[in-house]
Amino acid sequence: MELPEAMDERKRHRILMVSDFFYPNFGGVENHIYYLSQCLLKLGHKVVVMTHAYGNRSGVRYMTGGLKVYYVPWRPFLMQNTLPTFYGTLPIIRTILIREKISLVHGHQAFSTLCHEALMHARTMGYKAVFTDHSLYGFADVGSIHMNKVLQFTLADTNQAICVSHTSKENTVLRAGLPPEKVFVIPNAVDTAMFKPAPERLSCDEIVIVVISRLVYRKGADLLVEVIPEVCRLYPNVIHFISFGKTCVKVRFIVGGDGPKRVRLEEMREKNSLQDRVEMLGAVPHAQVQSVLISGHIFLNSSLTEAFCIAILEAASCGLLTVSTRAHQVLPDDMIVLAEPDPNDMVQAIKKAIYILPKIDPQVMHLRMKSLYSWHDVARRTEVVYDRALQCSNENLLERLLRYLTCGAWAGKIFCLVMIIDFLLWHLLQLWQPSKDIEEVPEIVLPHHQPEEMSQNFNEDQH
Amino acid sequence: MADVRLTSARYTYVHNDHKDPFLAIDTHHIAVRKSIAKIFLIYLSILLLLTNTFYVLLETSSTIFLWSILLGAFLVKSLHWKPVERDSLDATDLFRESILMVLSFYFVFEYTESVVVMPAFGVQLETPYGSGRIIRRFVPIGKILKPVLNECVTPVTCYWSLALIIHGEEELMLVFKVKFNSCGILGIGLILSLSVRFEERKDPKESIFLLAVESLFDCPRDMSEPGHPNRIEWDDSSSFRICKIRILNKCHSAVLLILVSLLAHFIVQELRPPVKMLVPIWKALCAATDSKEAQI
Repeated sequence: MELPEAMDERKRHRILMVSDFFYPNFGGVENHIYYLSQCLLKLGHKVVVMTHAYGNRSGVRYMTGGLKVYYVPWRPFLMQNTLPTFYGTLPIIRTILIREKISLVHGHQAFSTLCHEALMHARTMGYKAVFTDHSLYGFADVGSIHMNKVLQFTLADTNQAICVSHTSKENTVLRAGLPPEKVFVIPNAVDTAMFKPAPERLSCDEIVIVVISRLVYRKGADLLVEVIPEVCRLYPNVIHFISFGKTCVKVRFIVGGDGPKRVRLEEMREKNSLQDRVEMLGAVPHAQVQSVLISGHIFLNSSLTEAFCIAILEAASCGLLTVSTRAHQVLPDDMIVLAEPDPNDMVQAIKKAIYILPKIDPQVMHLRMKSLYSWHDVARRTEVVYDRALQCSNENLLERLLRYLTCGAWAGKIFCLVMIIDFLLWHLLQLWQPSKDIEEVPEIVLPHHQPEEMSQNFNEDQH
Repeated sequence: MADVRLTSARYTYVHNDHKDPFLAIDTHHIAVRKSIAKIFLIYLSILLLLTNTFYVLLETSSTIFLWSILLGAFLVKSLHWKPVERDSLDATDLFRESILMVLSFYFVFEYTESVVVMPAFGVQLETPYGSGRIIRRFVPIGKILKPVLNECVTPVTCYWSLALIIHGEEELMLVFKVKFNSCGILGIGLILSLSVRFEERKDPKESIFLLAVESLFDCPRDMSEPGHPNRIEWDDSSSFRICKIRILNKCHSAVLLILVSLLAHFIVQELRPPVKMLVPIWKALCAATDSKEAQI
């Protein structure tokens, strides 16, 4: 009979997360990598993150829970992306993979050049690779066509892929030409400990509708310009008769966020004289989002297309009722009111939301969100993907080159050439700097980490 | 006296721990062996670089032959030269010493750096150089705040280094230093690259190449003000005749400088012993620093 420790040791993975997007940047991808890494560490795996240097922040840093981060001193050149040199990052990636005894490389975000290069080099060196796509991309413009080709190249040889929603899976499968059975869907989660509802329930005399998003076309800022004046016109501080009796309903808007469409919203505010009913906060730092959300009753999201809207989860975790376009079906039906991306339909949805608002209990909503969306659950599901990836067979260069040839008439041959050169450079590097010269990092055990206590709590959560 | 010895591919660590009450010092040595293949590659690339530079400079095979003979004679003579230590050196001696330093360095296959820990007084760091000189630096124990093991990340690699945090100084003091031993070669390369010039070209293919270079540097055609750094003088007799283009000089000089700096990178002797050799030295330094704090 095997000892439990031996079984744990066998299942324990050593993962390298690679992306251009990580702390000190704030965003969906950054938070995803951080929370997933923390939960994987709690499950007993070893996680190392690799990203590019941010200003003076260069070298090795340790974050909470012993999460080791390599800020490799490669300068970003465009929108936080490392300069794509194809083979320039091969030496440093090889060094990190050997010294940390990595078993699996997990890349994040299709827009990250470091991720693509790391996955390419990891596959050349025989490591298993997993890729997570966080965004939706188009098919029509030149940028998208090139990005899709690069994605096709990377995913041709990746063992498994993860998408954050079924919509995102469809989009990724079409863009990269992947077999759908290779793609897993693991939705994002929300940090319910950070997004808690207000301790005291807000009074329903004045309904506050909160909007927090980037004010760009894709996030439906133009819809807001139509919807807000219409709603304010429908609720002009007039007494409404509702089934419980006479109630005075006032509606106010709080708009947080910045972007090119902010000017349009300001103009709408001026034109309709809504300065006292529409409050523009500007860009809201992530740490202050919760305090803005708990000052409202309803969260309005009008984005036209999105892979996964974490903002809705954050709002639901804070106990707000959500009104959203049909692009998002991430919440149960009693927590969200859906509408078509049309101003009239959205106004009707807001009316319905105001009507059902008294029946909503923020604390109950928060507890439901806690059970539905948890990063621990995401980590457990990701662990299953890692197990599947590690069970894939090891292939030699010729077998892998056949996969690249299917990427296109000309592209396939170019991809094969790129991989052959990478293979040759890897062997040259092995001659110049043999693996035995690269020293493995000793394990550092943090003094406050108590694995027995952690596993007890984990077991309690499961029951 | 207890001796501990650890060996890896390139480094050997020796620890002499003197327990004599009158001689309470703790000595740690790290010996470095250089790889012969690397030395051979470096020599080959230096030879290729110099040959290329001479070709660009002079372009005639008989002159190359003459120069290569001269270079060979110079190298052979330097190899058999005996190192002499002098206090004051004039210009020719300095040049000779720098070449000598480079060459003798490559023919010395092993050298040792030492750390002597004197708990009550301080730490002495010994660094040998290619010409045979040994530089010793003493750091008083009062000035050392803490010894640290640093995990350094460069664009191409990661390694461990041992450093001291010194009171009153912003930068860490490395216990094992990075050494540059290519001053002579760098000097030759720089002088040659900056002196490259081009004579008038009448070959249209070459003119097209020069035109392409010109477009690369985004240089408009009518920069005729004297004193302009990228001044081009046009010969009006033919549209493809270009003479005395300084841009190409700079382009070629830039390429040569890049080659020389890459070479220098390989020639730089960086001491990167494994962490298992650095840890006992770090512990000894920590013990010395802690005992100093205890005394205070």
